[in-house]
Amino acid sequence: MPLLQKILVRLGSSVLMLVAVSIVAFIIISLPPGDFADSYAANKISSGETVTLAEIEAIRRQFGLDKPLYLQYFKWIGGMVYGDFGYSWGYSRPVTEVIGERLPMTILIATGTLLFTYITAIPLGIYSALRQYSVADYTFTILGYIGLATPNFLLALLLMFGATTWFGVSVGGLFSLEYQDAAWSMGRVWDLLSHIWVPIIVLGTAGTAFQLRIMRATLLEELNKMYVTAARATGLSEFRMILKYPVRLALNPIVSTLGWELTTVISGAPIIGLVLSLPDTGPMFINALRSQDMFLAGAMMLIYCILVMIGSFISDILLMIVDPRVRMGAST
Amino acid sequence: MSDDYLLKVEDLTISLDVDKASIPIVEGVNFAIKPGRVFALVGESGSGKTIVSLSILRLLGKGVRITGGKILFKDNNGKTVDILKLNPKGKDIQAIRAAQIGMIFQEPMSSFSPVHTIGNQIEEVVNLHLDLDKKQARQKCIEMLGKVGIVNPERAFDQYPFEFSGGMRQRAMIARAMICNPKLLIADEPTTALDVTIQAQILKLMKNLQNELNMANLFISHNIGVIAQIADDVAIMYMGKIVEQGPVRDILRKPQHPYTKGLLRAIPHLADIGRSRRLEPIAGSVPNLFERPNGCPFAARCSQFIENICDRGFPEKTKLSPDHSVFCYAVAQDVNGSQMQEVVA
Amino acid sequence: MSQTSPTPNQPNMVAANKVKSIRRLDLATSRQLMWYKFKRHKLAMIGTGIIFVFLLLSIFPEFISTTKPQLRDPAYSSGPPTGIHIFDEEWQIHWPFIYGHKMKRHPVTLRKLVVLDTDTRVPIEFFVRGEAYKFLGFIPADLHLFGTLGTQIHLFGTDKLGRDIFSRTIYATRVSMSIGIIGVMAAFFIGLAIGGLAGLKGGWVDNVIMRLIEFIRSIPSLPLWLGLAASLPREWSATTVYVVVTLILAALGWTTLARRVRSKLLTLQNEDFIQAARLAGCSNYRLVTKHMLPSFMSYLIVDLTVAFPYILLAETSLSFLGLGMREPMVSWGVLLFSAQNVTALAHTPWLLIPGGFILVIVIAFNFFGDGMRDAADPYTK
Repeated sequence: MPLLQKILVRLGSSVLMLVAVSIVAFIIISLPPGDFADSYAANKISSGETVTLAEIEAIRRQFGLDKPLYLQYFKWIGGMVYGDFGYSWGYSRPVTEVIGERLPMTILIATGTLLFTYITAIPLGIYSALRQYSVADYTFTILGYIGLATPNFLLALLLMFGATTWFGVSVGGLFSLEYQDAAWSMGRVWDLLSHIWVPIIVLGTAGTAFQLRIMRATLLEELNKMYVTAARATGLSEFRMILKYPVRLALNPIVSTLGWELTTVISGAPIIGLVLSLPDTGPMFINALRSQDMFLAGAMMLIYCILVMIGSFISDILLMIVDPRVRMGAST
Repeated sequence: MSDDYLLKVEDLTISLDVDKASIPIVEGVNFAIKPGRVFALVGESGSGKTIVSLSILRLLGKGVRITGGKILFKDNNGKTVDILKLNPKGKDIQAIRAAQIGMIFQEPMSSFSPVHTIGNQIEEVVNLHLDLDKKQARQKCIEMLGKVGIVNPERAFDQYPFEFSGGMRQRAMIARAMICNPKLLIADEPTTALDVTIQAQILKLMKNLQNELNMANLFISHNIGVIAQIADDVAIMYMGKIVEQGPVRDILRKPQHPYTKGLLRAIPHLADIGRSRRLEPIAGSVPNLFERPNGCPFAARCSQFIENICDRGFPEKTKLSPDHSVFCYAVAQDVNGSQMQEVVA
Repeated sequence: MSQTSPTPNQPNMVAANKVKSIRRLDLATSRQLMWYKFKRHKLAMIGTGIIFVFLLLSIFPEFISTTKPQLRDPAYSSGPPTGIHIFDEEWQIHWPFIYGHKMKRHPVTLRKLVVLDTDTRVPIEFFVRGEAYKFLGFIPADLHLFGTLGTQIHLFGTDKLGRDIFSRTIYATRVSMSIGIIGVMAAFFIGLAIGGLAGLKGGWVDNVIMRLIEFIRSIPSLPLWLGLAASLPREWSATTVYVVVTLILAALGWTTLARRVRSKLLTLQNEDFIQAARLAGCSNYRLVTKHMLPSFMSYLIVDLTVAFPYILLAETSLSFLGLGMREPMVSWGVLLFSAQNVTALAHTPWLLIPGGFILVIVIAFNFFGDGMRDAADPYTK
């Protein structure tokens, strides 16, 4: 079955990609001068304890830091296969635990952002194309320009500023104080929903603007095609015709940019997490980078890449489902 | 002209909006199509023939406006409707499309949606206009696909357009246009994009189907050779105006308008093989849309150009026989000079 | 066409003008055509104007700013933007002036507050002598576009340390714009070299390069670049960081360009005019530089204009996180770094003003890029 074969090939190339990414990530975390043992020692000294050289050597041996780089890489990647991502001295806990409790929020925010992006961009894009040069179309175009030009963190800052000065509410975080450490309940879910829209809007604005432009442009192009006139000539009502044919075809480029869209969201998430002080992986990742907590940073880099790969994998599969030409490998 | 028409176009005028100007691209076009007959509109590209055909189903795009005239159509209930009075996005015209007037387009490659199956796109027409259940509808489509000469129609039903060749797609297009048994079929250059052998097959198929279903046909082409094979009546268009019209035999044997004569001279004849006759192209080229002359549009290229007459307004209609008429000052002068005065307004 | 086209005896005016413009287009060279098309794009012209102003700002920041970016005005720390007045308290009209100010403490919270002193009026003067600087880096000068004598003017307010945000923003314009421009240039040469290699060599070289590009494009770049930027040694000087960060950012932007160069080179190799030049004994180098490059240069320029805002935004993000530029070198991102927490925002919202500059220049570049894209294909409608 050719479809299955295609999916398998695609899966195989994803794995190769992952290996390549892990090498890059490892090189980056090995770049800074000094190693884990040095950081460990520096940390101890700064908290007033004394560390002997022998102790440092012991740690170095314990973590295999005296071995050549490629062996260290295999140890690192080998551990990951068993779910051992190394140790974070910043949190004094295993990396797996630190990431594990924050990752669900990141995934939730990323998924929410993508949903928000497509649910707003597609209908607005269709509307813009069908009412080309109308007031609404111009409004969306202008908003789109602004949305694309605003750095995410600036938007977050503005939202925070607006919320605190005009409404007297704080928009940071994902939970109110009383639900911060509470167990999951309906109340906590509701509390989460009342907070999560802020990062979703901040992260999704640029993508929405971009997808709206793509939707509008492709739909306008599709509307000029012969098959639209031919479909109209069958007596189909305008509304049904547009939904069934040109809109359906204009969705293809949208579907194919899904993976790319996820990449932008994942790229932008850490900064937003930091600005809005979200309990997700963002602030943790940036703090790890700043304090050179490299096992944590490296693992997180890898996880971000895995998320993106999963996204582009899903996007490719979706495109195969949506477009028979891709599925069957037709040239046109 | 008698009253036994199926579709009558009266004084049709269509303009193109460019920036702030409005340029007429079809002007004062009159013709009638009789039931069961093939009427051909002939002209170079840009002569406005496709625009006329699209206006009959109200399929004109943005910026193209119908500015005057009537298109009278005798619908299935025996009533006469002026199609130009219908809302182009309304129910009335939608009930006429495909059910009473079918249409085939020039580019079989792009007139099907590439992501829907052929069957889906034909069945849709059945569901819109005929009251059949799912199984019957599918059966009817497969029957029709077989009728237009597609081998293994069962399989073709579930195939996508990109799995079809150009000829097969045009056959499928014909199936889609004819499946509801319309009284009139509009075919806009249906064979132009196909290679010659396939062209002949498609023409034969159309002729057979037309005879079998007793359907009228508006056939648009730039190819006089094709017209000779299929048409009963012909109108020659030049720059948005009909310059000569009549039965196909009269037009081909006794062309009167200098443009028609030029077109006929430009066709290669089998009889010429081996002889040293060169094809004679018409001198010059079609003027730019924006340089539309005030007089006869063909004046600038005409060998029979008469100073101070041909460049002063469009000529009146000259009737040569009850069915054959021509719009030309030179012809009118000939007719008036030699015979009795029979110039009819 | 000229010998056969009829003379319209009663030409419609609009149509005649149309004809004239068509005639003009017939004769225009492709460069002229591009210019006509670009000029028709009003937003693009606005964008061009804004970019021009920003370039002026980054060439002459010393002249336009009122003071130096690191200079403090302790008497006015965390002060709001200075209001420019024409009317005084008694509604008397004056030459534009500012009020003097005093530092007080809030009676309850003891926060330092800046209080206007409506008794002193300080007129704004143009072309005043002030802070000495080196014009264009080597001519000693002390002339400033505008300023005040006595009480200092802080058009955008000051930060916690009393540094003038307006002057800092103007200086930051130079840093941010130059990073964008140098980054784009570097990306251009990397893209040209790598894309050219792939397109000309073909075969396995092409294959490897294309896989590499696909790889780079499909990983979330920012986390990786953040990691890379974070691993830069802390003890590096601001200038070194500037250079390295610019290079890192250039590494973000070259892939699109390389792909464009490659695909154009591949299609061009089969074009008749290239074949003809090759048969005429044209050297490979000449073939590429004289015949191939000019034919798709306009597309490359479009790609560059599109890449510029991306690089600028990436720099801003890096610096905003404290992983890019560092004091004393100020960029827009560095300026926004101090606006990171809610309390700072609530009390000194003017720290956000540099963000407006980012917004404006990115929008301007998007407009400019749209116009360029339309103009790049001068023969399409």
